[in-house]
Amino acid sequence: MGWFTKALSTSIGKKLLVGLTGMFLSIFLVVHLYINLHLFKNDGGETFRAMAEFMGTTWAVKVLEFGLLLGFILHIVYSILVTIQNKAAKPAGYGASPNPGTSKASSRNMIWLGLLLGVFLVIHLQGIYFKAKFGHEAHDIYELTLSVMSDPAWAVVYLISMVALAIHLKHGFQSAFQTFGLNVPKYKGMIEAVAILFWVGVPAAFASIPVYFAFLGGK
Amino acid sequence: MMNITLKVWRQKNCNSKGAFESYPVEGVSPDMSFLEMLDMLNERLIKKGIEPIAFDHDCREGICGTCSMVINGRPHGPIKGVTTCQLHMRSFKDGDNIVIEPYRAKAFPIIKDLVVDRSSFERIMVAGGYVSVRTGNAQDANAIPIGKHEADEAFNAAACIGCGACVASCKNSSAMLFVGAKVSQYALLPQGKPERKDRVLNMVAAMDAEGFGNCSNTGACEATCPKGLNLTHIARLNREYISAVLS
Repeated sequence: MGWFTKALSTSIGKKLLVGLTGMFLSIFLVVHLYINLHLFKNDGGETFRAMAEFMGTTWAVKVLEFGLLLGFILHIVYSILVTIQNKAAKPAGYGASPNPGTSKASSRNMIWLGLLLGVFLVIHLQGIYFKAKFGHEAHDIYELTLSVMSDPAWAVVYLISMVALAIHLKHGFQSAFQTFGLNVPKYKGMIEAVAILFWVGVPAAFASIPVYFAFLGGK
Repeated sequence: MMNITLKVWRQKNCNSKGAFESYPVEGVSPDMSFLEMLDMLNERLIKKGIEPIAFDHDCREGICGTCSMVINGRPHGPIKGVTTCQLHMRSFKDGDNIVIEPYRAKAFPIIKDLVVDRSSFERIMVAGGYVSVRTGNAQDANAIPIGKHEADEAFNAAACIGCGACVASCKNSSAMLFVGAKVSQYALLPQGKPERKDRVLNMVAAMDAEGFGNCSNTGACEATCPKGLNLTHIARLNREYISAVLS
C-alpha cells in the first residue's frame, strides 16, 4: 500500500483524488436530481416517498451513504490541502494584472465556491435530511421537502447555491478529465459537450423545483 | 519617438525588501526591443550614478529562455508567442505606463531586481529530463521508425525553452506545463520510452520538492507560453504519471 499512499501524496496524486471524489459526487448529484424531479409527479408524493423509503432502508444504499460522506470529506480536505500548498508556492502577487486576463474566474475561485457549497450542504442537511432521519417529530419526507421548496426564503438560498454549483461544475467537471489525462484532442469536443450539459443542466433542473413550488404556484 | 514611464521592481538582493520605482524614459524608438529600451535606460542611470536595473538576458533571439520579467502583469509582455527579448516598443503607445516585475514563485527566489533563480528547473531536469545513451556509434537515424504525428508532438513539446513563464503566470506557481513538456518530448519518442516510468515519477517528485504548486487547470500557462505549448502536455504528464504508478 506504500506505493498507493505515496502516489496520492504527490501534487498529481492529490489532484487525482480531488478529481475522482468530485466525479463520484457528480454521479450522486444525478441520482439526487432523478429522485427530486419526482416531486413534479402528480401522484400525491407516492413515488417520491417510495424512493425515499428505498434510499433509507436498503443496506447497499446505506453503504454508499458512508462512501458519500467519505467522498465529501476527502474532496473538501484535499482541496483545502492543495489550496494551502498553492498559496505557499506563490508568496507574492503582481502589482499589475494582465489585460486581457489569462484565465477564467471560475477556475481561480474553486475553493471559495466549494466552501460556499459546503455551507449550503450543512443548511440543506439540517433543513431536510437530519429532520427526516433523526428529528424528534415524525416527518413525512414528501410534505417536509415540499414545505421547504415552497418557502420563498429557502428558494432564494437554493437558487444562490445552484448558481455556485453551476460555476463550480463549469470548471470542475471538465477539469477532472484533464487531471485524469483524458483531455486529449480526440475526446476534447465530447468532454466539452458533456460538461456544458452537466454544469448547465443539473443545477438548472435542481433550481426548477424551488422556482416552481415557491414562485410559480406549483402544488 | 515615444516617451514612456516605467514602474520597475527594485530589490537589492534576496534578503532585502523590494519596492517599485518609477523611471520616465524619453526618446524611445518604436523599433527598439524591450531589452534595448532597458539597456538605454540603464546607460542613463549609470551616468547619473544610479544602480542599473538587473535583468536576465542572453541570446536575444527568443530561443534560450533566459529573459524573463513580467510586463503589465503578463510574463514576456502583451504579445502572444513572443519572449521579452523579441518584444518591441511598437507594441506600446506613447505616454504608456509600463509595470515591470520579476517572476513571482517560491521556487524562483529573487536574486536582484528582475533576476530570479530558476535553478529549480535544472534540478527537475537532472531528476529525469534526459535519455541514457550507451557508448558506441550512433545508429542510422532512419533505423528507428517514428510516426509523423508523434514526431510533430514531440517537437512541439521540445519547443519549450524553460523560461518559466508558465510558473510566473500560474496563480499556484505550478511547473506542470514545463514538466509536462519535458516528459512529453521523451515519452513520445522510441528513445525515451525505456525510461519513461522512472522519468515521470522522479521529475514529479523533484517538482514537488522544489515547492511548485499544483495545477488548477486555469490555462494561464498556455495563454502566456511564448512557445505556444498547451495543456495537452499536462494531460500527457498526468497520463504518464497514472500509468507509471499503476504499472
